[in-house]
Amino acid sequence: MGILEVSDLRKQYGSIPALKGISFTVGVAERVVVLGPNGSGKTTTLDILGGFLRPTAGWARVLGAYVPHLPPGVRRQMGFVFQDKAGLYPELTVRETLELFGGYYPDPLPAPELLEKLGLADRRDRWVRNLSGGERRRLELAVALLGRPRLIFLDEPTASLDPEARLLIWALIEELADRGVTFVLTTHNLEEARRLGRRVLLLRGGELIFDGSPQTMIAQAGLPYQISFRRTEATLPPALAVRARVEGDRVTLPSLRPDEDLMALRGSGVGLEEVSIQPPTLEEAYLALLKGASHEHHSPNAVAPSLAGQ
Amino acid sequence: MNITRQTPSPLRLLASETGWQTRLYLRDRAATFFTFAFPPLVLLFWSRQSGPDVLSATALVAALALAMAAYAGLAMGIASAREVGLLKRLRSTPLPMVVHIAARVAACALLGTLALALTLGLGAFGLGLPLGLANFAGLLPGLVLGFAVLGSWGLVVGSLVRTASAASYLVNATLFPLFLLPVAAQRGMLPEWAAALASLLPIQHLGLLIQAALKGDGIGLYPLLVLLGWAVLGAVIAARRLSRPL
Repeated sequence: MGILEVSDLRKQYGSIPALKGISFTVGVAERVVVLGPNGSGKTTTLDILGGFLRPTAGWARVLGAYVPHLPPGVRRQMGFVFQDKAGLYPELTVRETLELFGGYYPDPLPAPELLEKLGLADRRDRWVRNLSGGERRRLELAVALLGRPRLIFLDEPTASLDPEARLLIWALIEELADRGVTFVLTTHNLEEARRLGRRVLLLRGGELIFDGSPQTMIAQAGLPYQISFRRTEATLPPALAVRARVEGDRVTLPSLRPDEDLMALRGSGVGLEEVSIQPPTLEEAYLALLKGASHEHHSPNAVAPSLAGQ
Repeated sequence: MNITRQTPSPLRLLASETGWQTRLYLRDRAATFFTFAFPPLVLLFWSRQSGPDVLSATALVAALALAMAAYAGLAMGIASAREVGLLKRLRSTPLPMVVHIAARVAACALLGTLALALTLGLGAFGLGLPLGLANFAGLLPGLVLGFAVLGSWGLVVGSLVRTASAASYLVNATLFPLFLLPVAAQRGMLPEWAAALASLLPIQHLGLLIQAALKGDGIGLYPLLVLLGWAVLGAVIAARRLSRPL
């Protein structure tokens, strides 16, 4: 049984479908990143899993309880960082905020430890209303971690943060994951997804169009690797020359089968120096899959149509 | 993770949450001013206008003081909490929402009672109203029913509107007519139908109950029934509204 089970989940806002029947299961200690353009259903999914929204159809179970009715015993094992509104009392200090929310849990983490870890120790007596955006975000994360959650939902946790704050939050999420905490994180930041995620759920228009590892996502997008080298002598074989981009003695060759193409190059007697092979990035794969999904669903063996014949 | 420890009991949570909600209310300068300073200012101003009828003025302003905490305080507090995402945050914790709402109600009841006592104290010590402990004991039915009416309708407004500013407009648009219409009716400033309508509004009857208690008279059945009617209606609507996710 997964820590999270989602079956044919649908959500309709009036006549507008926000989720069109998504299904997935998340196991203990999984690191799941939910990707998708604005309006793809990421936040709706998290809101349903948090019990804040009632699904129109389908069902979801969180830590064994069906949403939206999650009992306190389940809620105390969950943590949340919300997308836009902090949900904190502006009239409290940082220390008081942790004291108040910590009072809801049977065995909260000690506030000084949390403040130290999140770089807020010197802000403990500052009013929440006077915190910077990054500090408030870190305090939200501290509140989410107070109850020692087994499962944490993070809805764009580093959106609009400066690089320093972003790195601090990434390090903390990695530390949590290393300790076995399951997380489900939504983001538009592909670097964040690549660094933190071991599994990607890609949503588009309320449909789940990909579910797998970032590496599988890159492979499934069917995008070419970029073979780059300096040519010292001879000409390129005609079959490869049509695809190559040549700038002086520098050649870049898009290739779906880099090993085969390199062998062909070497076999044709082309002198190769400074050879590098760049795989497609997660961002390129993301864009390709979203573009492809507007035409058809991807099967695991799908190859980008424009490159399939090469 | 220590899973053997129990979640704090609802009663303990309620006591702690009430303390926090009271503290938060008192840190809101506008709420504190309009609950504790505004009614005495109204009373001081009005007592100069109303001459010998200090008793009815004090009673009505005491009702206003209770309304500021119970009605305005609850309505704006809940709407504001929703607007900044606090209610959603609280729903993500093990704190049952019913405990949070009950704590807000308890904090407003406590502060409303203090505001009412402050207004009556001003009447007694500042304006020479003869008040004794027996008068305060007689206040209890009016206080309880009055708070039930104002608090339940405060919950209704708080659950209806999405933002604190909308709650503020709605509170102003309802509270001041509730307060002023009976006064205008008493002074013959309203047409007959409007005066009849004003006679059904709750604040006037709460004022009458407070007035009777201050005079040491018996409690009138009609004001009690009117307040009871408003309280039941408010409680039913509030319960229906609050049973949905806030």
